[in-house]
Amino acid sequence: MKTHECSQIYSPGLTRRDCLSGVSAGFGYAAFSALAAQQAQAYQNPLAPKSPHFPGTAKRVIFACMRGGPSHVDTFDFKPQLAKNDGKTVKGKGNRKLKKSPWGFKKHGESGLPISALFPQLAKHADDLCLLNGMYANTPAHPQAFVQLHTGSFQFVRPSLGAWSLYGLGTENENLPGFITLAPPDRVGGAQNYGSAFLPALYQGTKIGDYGQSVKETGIANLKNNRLDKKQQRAQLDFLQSMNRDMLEQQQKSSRIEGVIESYELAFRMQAEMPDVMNLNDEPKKIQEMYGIGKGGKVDSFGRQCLMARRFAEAGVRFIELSHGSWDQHNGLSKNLTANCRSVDQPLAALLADLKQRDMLKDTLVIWGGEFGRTPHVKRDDGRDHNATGFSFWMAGGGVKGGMRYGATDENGIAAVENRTSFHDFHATILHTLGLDHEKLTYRYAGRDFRLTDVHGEVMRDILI
Amino acid sequence: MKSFAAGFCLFCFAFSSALADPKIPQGQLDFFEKKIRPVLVENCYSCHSKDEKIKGGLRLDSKDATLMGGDTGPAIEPGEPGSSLLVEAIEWGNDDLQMPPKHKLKPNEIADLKRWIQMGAPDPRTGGSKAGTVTKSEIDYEKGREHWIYQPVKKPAGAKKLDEVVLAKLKAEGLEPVGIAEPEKLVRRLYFDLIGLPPSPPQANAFFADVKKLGREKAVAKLTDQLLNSPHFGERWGRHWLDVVRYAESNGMERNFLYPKAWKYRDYVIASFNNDKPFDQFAKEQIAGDFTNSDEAKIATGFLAIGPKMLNERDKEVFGYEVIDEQIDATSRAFLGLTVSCARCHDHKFDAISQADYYKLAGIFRSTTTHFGTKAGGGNRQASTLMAVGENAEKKAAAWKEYNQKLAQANKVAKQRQGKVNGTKKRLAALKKQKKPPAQISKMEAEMAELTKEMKASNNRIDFLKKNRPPVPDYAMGVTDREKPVDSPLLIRGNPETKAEVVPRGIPAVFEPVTGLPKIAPDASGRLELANWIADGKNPLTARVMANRIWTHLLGDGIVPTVDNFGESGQAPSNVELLDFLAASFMESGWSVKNLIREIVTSDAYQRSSGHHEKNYEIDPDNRFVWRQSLRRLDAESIRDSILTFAGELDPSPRDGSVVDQMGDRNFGRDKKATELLRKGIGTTHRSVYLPIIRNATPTGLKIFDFAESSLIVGKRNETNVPSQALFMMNSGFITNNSKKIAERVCGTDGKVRKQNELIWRGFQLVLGRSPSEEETARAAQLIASHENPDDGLITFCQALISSAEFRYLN
Repeated sequence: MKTHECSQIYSPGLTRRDCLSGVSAGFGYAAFSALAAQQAQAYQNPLAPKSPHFPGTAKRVIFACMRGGPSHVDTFDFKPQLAKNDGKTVKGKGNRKLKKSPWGFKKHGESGLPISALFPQLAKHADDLCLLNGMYANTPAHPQAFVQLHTGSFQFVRPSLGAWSLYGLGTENENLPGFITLAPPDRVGGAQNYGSAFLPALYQGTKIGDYGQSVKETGIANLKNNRLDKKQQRAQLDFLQSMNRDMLEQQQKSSRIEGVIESYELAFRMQAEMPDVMNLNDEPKKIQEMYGIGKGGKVDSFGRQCLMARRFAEAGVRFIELSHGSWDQHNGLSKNLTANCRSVDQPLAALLADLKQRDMLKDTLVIWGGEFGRTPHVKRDDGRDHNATGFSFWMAGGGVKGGMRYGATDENGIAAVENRTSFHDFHATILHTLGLDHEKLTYRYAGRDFRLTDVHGEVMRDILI
Repeated sequence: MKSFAAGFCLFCFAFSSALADPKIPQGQLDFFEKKIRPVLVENCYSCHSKDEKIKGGLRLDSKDATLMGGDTGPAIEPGEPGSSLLVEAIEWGNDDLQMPPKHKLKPNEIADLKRWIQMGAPDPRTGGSKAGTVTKSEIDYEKGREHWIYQPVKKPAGAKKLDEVVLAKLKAEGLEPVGIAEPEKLVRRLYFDLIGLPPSPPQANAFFADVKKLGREKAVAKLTDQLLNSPHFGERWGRHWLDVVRYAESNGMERNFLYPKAWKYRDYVIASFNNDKPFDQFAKEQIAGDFTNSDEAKIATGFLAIGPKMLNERDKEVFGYEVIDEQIDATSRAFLGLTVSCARCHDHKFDAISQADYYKLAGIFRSTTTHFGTKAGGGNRQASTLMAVGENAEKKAAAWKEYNQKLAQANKVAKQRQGKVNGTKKRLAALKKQKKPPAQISKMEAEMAELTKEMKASNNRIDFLKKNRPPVPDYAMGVTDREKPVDSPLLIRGNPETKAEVVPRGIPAVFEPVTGLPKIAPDASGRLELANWIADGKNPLTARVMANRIWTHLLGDGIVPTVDNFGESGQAPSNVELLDFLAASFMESGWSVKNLIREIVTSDAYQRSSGHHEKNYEIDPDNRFVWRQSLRRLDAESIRDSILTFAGELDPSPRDGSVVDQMGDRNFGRDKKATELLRKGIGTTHRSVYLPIIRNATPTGLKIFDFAESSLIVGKRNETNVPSQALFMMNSGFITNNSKKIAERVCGTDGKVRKQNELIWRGFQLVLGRSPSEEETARAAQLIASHENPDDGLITFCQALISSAEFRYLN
């Protein structure tokens, strides 16, 4: 891993204190007077903020992951021709008939971005949304596509997008994990989707909550002591740390022992800070309501995720992933897609509005989408199947242009034909907004330098401000 | 670059050949020579010809090659400029495919090329395509062989003891070795390093007594022998090997199917280390044990079967090559420290391993059937069989199969009959209800009686079958040879859709003058030859790689720090003489792992203190030349097993089988019963090596402390210090519960009332193996006093001891 000289630190978010902590403000000795060789050995918190390759436009990412493959032609990919072709048979697709979207699209905002009636709240933010209409995946199978969306590869176990981001930038708040994933699915790759693979383990995502369950009652593992009060635990820690410091003195110059000492202090602080950040009851009633908390059911549940995400973002967490599903509407499209959209529409709109009113949207990249889209042509009357050849994502904030559509599918929405965007391109662009060059963000493992985008990936420059 | 066809080749070779027309009208020929050839030579050949480069697998220097195309399909469709990739590329219409990349062709050149394709692409150029499209290898074997690993293992002249070699290097580097560690430290080091468990206070005292009586050297030698003979030795060192071979009990991909019999391989590994099986034999068994009659050796081939697998893959051939790649990767890195699988898609970027070399090995594994089991369906499209093992395995398996078939048949018949019975019963009831004529009713009653009789016969048949159930055969994972061996074609860019020439099975060419290359008979897969070649004393890598692994576990860092990569991209050895000394001794002793461990731990180099030395530190801060012992963290297993030991909770007996076997053949993620069993399995108090290792569901307590990622080959684990570890020690139920039990043990079960200072002393002795200083005693007393109830205080104190860096590190 690269070590950065303080003078090279560029990111506007870094203070001198951040800078020092990266070099070791150790317990053992004064790092700055040490010899170069000693500096190499000095304890470096691998999570300390690191300077990006170039000034990024986003400091953090909130990825709202919609598991199951949301239908693009019913949500964010307006296809007027599809409506005209309704009922026509498509060649080469098992003679299936095209089905128009049961929902109308209207133009919204100054930009006139067409958004489906399924997202009335989010549509109010049309001028902040960048619709990525030319996405494609390599396979229409959930597990593979889902893992590829998260790690770039479904063939091999590779580090996840969040882990790479954290590896590239470190974290701004060392009292909290730098990569948090809320209620991720156990299936479709499970922990692989927030894993660190060959990257050091501390870059892996910290999972909070279980898939499909509300984060209301959930917490992070081992955050609370059921036996000791705070004072007793501090006394225990004082005793423990006195022993550790004795050992450090004995060993001298041991980054390892310093690491142990720091990990306990951080853990102790995390105990205090983490529940606070996760405690949504702190928020004014108005804000809670804005996110749909209290509305019950799935709106409440996803609203909590969104509000928690904002609080984590505010507290300096680098990468936050939210989960919602399933969007796999082979049947019951009209009912289930309506319900899904309803449960995320208000919370997502609130998240954008809230970030904006805190002036955080400008450097927070918000992403929405799933592993693929759904077929415009149908076998059953009220259901759509997997479509990997063309689908949509959207991004907002973090230096991405609002009120635009990038990429396009064919007239019926079957395949991406214009500015086709692979997951590699998608990943390259996200890293780019963070100030990371996807070709330079490498990690040496098993004799070669690995990257998130393997040998692929092109930044979607047209969508950047 | 966006891959616009995602690696799917559309071409049909027969079709393109059929288009070859030897007679080209003169006018077309002239057009080609004047307008087309110069443009191609000028603009395309530098990247797309046999004599220059073949980028993207595409050659444009012969008719056939052009028709065949590259990785993404044929370059041209004769007669159809509109659907020719070449046209798409030169028109620069697609952002992802713009050729030539630096400048666009002139409009008239583009028009000419389109016209030429419209004509049917008349082309007089010969030069073949198929074999010719093999990516030209630029590997310089001569130069590659200069890398140190290809030199034979050479024991440094005159050196009799390991320490002489270490000291010579230290002297040369201007370093002074530090002193020997105190007995308190040595005894912990030896216990943890050799068996992964802490010494109990009496065991430590026995060692101290021996040091006094026999002197340090003899006392260490005695204890070493004792520990090497402990059954716990195999549990510790077997686990090190399980890290290397990515041991786990499920396929671990998007869908997670269990490997219920993987534990047999685990037990084989543990037993092999306990029995000090010669490492050359150990290697041979794992790669080709199926060539023997021994069940043990057959189970050993589980090595090739337990890797992660993409069972959801639809395409059998793609899946097959994934498995092969995984096997090549595991075999070459585990035994040779070579990253051969880097050469799957192109020549190795650093080492003298060509893509053809890779496919030589691929042919060997392509001639192999992998038996990994797993339940078909539910997203598993690639289930396989298992190997029957045990006495009369084949007979038993056949009988079992027959039994199951018969039973299934009987059940089917019974079900049909039951259906009839139910139907007739209903009809009969209806007849009676409708008060139909008695004749009709009695006829049906007779029918019913007959059916009931048949039903009874069916049930009897099932009972009979079940009563005479043959013994359940025993299964294991592993490999066997396919009936007929088959070579592999070289796959351009590793893609099974773009096959090039067939590569005969064999060993990478770089080894030819070093080891000689084994001949592989036409009817042999070559796997046995590969195994023998790896285990041959002439192989310059096998002994070095294993000796380096052993050294790493005992000294903290490898002589070659990149333990799984000895190639050019790995790190150079810090002391090649030392590595060769160890490798040579290893082989001389008959590849005895225990012997090599004994040689290392009885050396001064191993027994040195881990203390600081200012001058040495300035020269060699990373301790590359071993002027001291390294400070090493206990691994996840030792942390858990020690805490259970202190608490008096550890069950030292080996666990019989695995809880995963009880879960049975199923998809793990979807099963509540399996999840419950897993929870119970993780909750047992057997040693950690026996805990269920399901990929993506490894026990948290192990994962937190950097347990090996079970989908990867891990010769050296990460060592992190993260808050989640601290939180685990501070707050987890496991630690809280065991802290209470440790406190109880510190109090003693003999009913004696002890003073607080004695309790503090006993805590230090139990957990850290030493007496506390006066100051420490005072601080501990203060901590205990901060609780109202001294019993609570004692628990808090014991928890602090196991949370300390001193416990977690070997110094």
